[in-house]
Amino acid sequence: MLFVIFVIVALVGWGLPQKKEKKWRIALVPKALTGEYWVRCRKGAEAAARRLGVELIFVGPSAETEVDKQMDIVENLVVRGIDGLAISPCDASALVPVIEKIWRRKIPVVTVDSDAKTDKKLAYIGTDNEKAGALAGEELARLIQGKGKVLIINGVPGAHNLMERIKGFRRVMAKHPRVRLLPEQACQSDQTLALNITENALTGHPDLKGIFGVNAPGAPGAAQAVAAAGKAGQVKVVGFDAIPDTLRFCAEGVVQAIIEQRPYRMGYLSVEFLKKALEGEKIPTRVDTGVDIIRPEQARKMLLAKPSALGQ
Amino acid sequence: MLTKKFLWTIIGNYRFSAPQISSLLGLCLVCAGLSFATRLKAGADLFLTQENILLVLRQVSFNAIMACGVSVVIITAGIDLSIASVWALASCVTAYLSVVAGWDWIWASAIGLLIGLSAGLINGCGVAFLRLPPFVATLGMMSIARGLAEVLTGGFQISGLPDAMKFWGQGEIALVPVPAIVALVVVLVTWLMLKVTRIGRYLYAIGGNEAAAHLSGVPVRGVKLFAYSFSGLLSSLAGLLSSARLGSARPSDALGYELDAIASAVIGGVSLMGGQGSVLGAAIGAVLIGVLRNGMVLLDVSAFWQKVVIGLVIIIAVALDYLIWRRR
Repeated sequence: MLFVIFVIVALVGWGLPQKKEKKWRIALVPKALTGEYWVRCRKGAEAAARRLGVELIFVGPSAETEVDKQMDIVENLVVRGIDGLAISPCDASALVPVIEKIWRRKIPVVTVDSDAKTDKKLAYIGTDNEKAGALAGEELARLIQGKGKVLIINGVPGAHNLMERIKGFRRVMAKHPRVRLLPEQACQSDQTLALNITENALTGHPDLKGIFGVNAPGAPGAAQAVAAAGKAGQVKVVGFDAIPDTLRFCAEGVVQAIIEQRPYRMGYLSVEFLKKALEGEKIPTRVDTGVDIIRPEQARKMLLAKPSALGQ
Repeated sequence: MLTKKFLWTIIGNYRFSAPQISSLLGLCLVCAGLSFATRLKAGADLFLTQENILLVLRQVSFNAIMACGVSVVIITAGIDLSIASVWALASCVTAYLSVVAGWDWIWASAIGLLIGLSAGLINGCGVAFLRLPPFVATLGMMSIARGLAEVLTGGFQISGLPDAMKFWGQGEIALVPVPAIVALVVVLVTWLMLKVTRIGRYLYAIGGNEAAAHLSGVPVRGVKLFAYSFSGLLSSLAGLLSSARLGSARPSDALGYELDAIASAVIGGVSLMGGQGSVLGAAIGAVLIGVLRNGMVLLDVSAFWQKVVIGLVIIIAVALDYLIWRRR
């Protein structure tokens, strides 16, 4: 056993490419390693690292729930020696002590995709969620011609980014006096639950006009119920994040619009801005990476272009 | 009785078991290898530095405490799958009482530990009196405890634990992280309990041969109740320390961590068949896993490979134990 372990460790040690030249070494710590969203974020960061000649370390916990593992990883990275850190904190407050510890060592930090409750960072790079929610509101208001009953399907109640989206959405809806918002529902980020909620809402309110899925599982769940009730196109659905299910429903015309965030851009910009900061340039403290709106015709094109590997 | 002399005879005559020696040596080799590899790669020893060692000690202490508890159950030829859920439930209850209900954190923590103890007691009742297979009884509790944590918090995180409590997770005494000190105490107390006390011998006897133990007058049910309660208590302790470190608790905390604890026990030579192994081994196993996680970040091992390496180490460690030591 000893020998084998030694061989593994030695192989791991020697198998790694050793770069002699001095490059900025930047770490990007996502909330989770897997999931299409973070893969796109990684690809963006890798592209920036290649173009700008920066060494990128992409390491994170296996699941977004592993707050303590994320903390361990960041601590280990500091020992490892990094010049800059981009982090998407699994928890807005729990990661604060670690981030501040890094800040005290004069290592520049930016938060990506989700913010941390501290001012000991250079910038937040991610979606302006209130603006994105307002955009979803404008889109849905246009689709239902500014009148009728609207259902909001939240993800996890209390999640900061989702609350911001709903705030923006409600602000727009308030401008349309003939829109009636039904009591907000939460699907606990579970697509099946979103389906059940929509089925119940369609039974209780046969005249429902619009549905807003605040995070990824909301829209596809709602769309499935709408399609099953034979109300595709009659009840307009607007959602967030073009996961494969949502894209398919959008191509079929059950979902009318998807607000798509730009994780690739977040990854790219976090590396770029950290490099700028390391070289003494000033960078903005809030960077809105913006969103795209995907409508049915575009969804059809995306499905045709990449029927299997969606959303790359 | 437990005189000082008696204690010294025990410690003096203590012989490390073969799996313990191999895992301890394995740990030393991994540490040496990491120290060497970081020198090669980064030009300086990143691993064997005071800062890094203290870091790793804090990181492994929660798992080590949980591994101690589950080892006691595994020694009776049982298993406890509910430990990580009990961790989450206890930390959510404590956070709820302390932050939402405004209790003093000490009382809130006491209730959290009591919750862990009760969950373990219920597991024990299921195993000892209802004669449920331990896998099933604790699988049920795994779901129940996690569910209760979600019910209590409504899925939210509870943030804002008092600084006095955070000290137990974030603080240091003479540079040594507080949770590491707690873990050390837990390991030593559990080890002494297993080696010195009658209940310790009973635990091994039940794991070795339950029928024989019963016939020779071992109170099998009572001892099992004790084992599962102990495991529940230690899981809740690990949970409280971890939430003190994070300053908050979520019902999703420690999702899947039972496997880490069981893996630590197994790497350290605690036999899943029961009757064999010691918590010292389990603690070594926990440190080994933590060291590997730390080392792979230091060496820039692709995060995707880290899990593969840890899985390989688990299998190789146990397979070699069986191949080399058990055959003799």
